[in-house]
Amino acid sequence: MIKFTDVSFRYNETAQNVLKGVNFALNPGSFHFLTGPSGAGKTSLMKLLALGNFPSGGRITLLDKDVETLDRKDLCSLRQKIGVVFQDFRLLNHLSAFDNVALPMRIQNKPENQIKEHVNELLDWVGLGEHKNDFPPTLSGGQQQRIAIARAVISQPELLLADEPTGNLDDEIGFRLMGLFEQLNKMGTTIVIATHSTQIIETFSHPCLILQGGTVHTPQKTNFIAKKIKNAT
Amino acid sequence: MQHKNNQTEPQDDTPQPSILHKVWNVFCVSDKGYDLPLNKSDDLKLLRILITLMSLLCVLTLNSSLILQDITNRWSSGLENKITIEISPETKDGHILSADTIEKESSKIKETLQKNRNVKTANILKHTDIQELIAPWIGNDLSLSDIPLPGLIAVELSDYSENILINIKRDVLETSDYAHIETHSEWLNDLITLAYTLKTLALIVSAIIISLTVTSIITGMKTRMAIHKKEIELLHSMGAHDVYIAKQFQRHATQIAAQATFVGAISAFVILIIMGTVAGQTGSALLPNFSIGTNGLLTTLCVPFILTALCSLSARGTVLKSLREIP
Repeated sequence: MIKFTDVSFRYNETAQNVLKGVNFALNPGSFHFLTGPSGAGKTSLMKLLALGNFPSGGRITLLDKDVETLDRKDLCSLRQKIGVVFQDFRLLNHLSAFDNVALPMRIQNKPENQIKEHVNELLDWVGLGEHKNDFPPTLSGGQQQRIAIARAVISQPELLLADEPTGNLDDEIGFRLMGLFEQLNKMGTTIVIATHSTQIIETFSHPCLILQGGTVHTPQKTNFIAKKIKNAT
Repeated sequence: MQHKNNQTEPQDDTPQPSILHKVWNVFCVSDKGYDLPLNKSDDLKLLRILITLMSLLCVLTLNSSLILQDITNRWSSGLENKITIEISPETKDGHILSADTIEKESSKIKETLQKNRNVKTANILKHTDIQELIAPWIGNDLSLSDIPLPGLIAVELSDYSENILINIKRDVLETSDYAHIETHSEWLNDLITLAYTLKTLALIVSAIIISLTVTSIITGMKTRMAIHKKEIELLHSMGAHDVYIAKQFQRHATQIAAQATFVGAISAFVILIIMGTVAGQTGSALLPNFSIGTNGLLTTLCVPFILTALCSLSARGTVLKSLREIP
C-alpha cells in the first residue's frame, strides 16, 4: 500500500512548495500513470516515491511503512524494494551491461552464481542476451533503456517507478517497453510511470494521477485525454 | 525472468578468495569489483607520488631519530662511571712540561688511584691512543714530536657519586699539581640534550608527515566523492548501505596507500644503505653510524603498514561522514 497524506515538498527552507496537499493511495499490484504539465512536480513526486527526498510536510506510507519513522538502515532496506528507471538511464559506463544489471543484487550481497543466473535470464527477457559484455556507450538508446529496466527489476521490486521511460525513444520501442512493464505488473509489481505522452496513456488502460499546481488529481482518464486534445487543438 | 513466488535459491558454491588472493588484490589496482570508476580519477598519479614521498620521508625521519637515540645511548653508556685525568703539557705559568715529567706524574697518579677502593681500573693512555683520539680534528699525518701531548689517564669507577668524585679529586690534586679531572658530565649533558632535541624534532616531523598523508587521502576521497556524486546517488537509490559505498572508497584508498607507502619505504631503505656505505667509506669518527639495526628495519617495515592502515580508516571515516549528509 502506498499512501500520501497531505504531503508537501520544497527543495529548501526558503523555496516555494513544489508539491502541496498531495493526497492519494495506490493499491499493491496497481499500475498508474503520473502525468501533468511540465514543471508540475512529476520528478519531485517520483523522488519522494523513490525515497530520494523526504516531504517537508504530511505523511508518506510506502509499502506499508511510515517513511518518517524509519531509521537509515531501514530506509536502505525499503529502497531495495523499489526499482527506479531514470529518464536519463543513469547506467554506469565503466561497467558492462551484465554488471549494470547485476548491481542491485551485488548491493544486496546476493551469491555470485545466483546473480549470474538471474542477470542472464533477465537480459534474455529484454532481448539483450547477446550484448551482456557490451558497455553502455556502445549500445543504442533503446538498448540502454532496456538495460535500465532490467536493472530496476532484477531484485524483484515491489514498486517500480519509471520517469519518462519512453521519452527518448521512438514509438515502436516505447510501446515494446510498455509491454515489458505490463508483464511485470502481471507478476504483482506495483508500477508508477511518469509520462507526458497522451498516446501512451490513451493506449494502455491504466488509471492516471494528474499533477497540476503542485497537487494530485485523479479524474477519469477519458476526461483528461479529452482536455489534452482540446488544448492541443 | 525471475518471479516473486520463486523462493528456491541456488546454494552459493562460489569459491571464496584465499588470504593470499585478498592480499594480492590490495596491490592490484583495477576497476574489477568497483561499482564506482574510482581508478579513473585524474589525480590518482599525483596522490600516489605524494604518498610515496610522505612514506619515504617518514621512514627517513624515524630512522634518523633511531640513529640519534643510538648515538645518545652510546655516549651515555660509553662514558658511564668514567672520568679522565689530564696532565696538561703546559703549566699555569706557561712552562712546557717534558714528556718524562708527564709520564712520571701520570704514574704517580695511577698509583694513588689504584689505592682507592672506588676505582675499578686506571690506565695511562699511550701516545698512539691519544693520537687516535685527536685524529678526527688534526688528521693522521701529524708527527707526535710536532706538538706536546698531554698525559691522559682513563679511570673507571666501580661506583659514581659526588662524594666519591670529591675524594678522588682531593687525592689526585694532593699527588700532582699538574692534574686536571674531566668528568665529561657537562659536555656530555649538552650533547645528549642536543641529540634528544633533534630526536624529538624528528618524531614531530614524522607526526606531521603522517598527518599530511592522512589529510591528502581525505582530500583525495572527498574529491572523488564530488566527482562521482551522481553514481553515489544511484547506488544510494538502489538501497546501498553507507558501509557498502564506503568500502569501495576504503579499498581504493588502501590500494593506493599500500602501493605508494611500500615504494616509499623501499626507496628510503635504499637511501639509508647508500648513506651508511658513504659514511663508512669516509671513515670519519664524527659521522654517526648509519647502519640500519633491527629497530630500523622494523620501523622501515612497519611504516607502510601503519600509513596504509591510517589511510584506509581515514578514507572509510571520511566517506561515511559525508554519506550521512545524503538523505
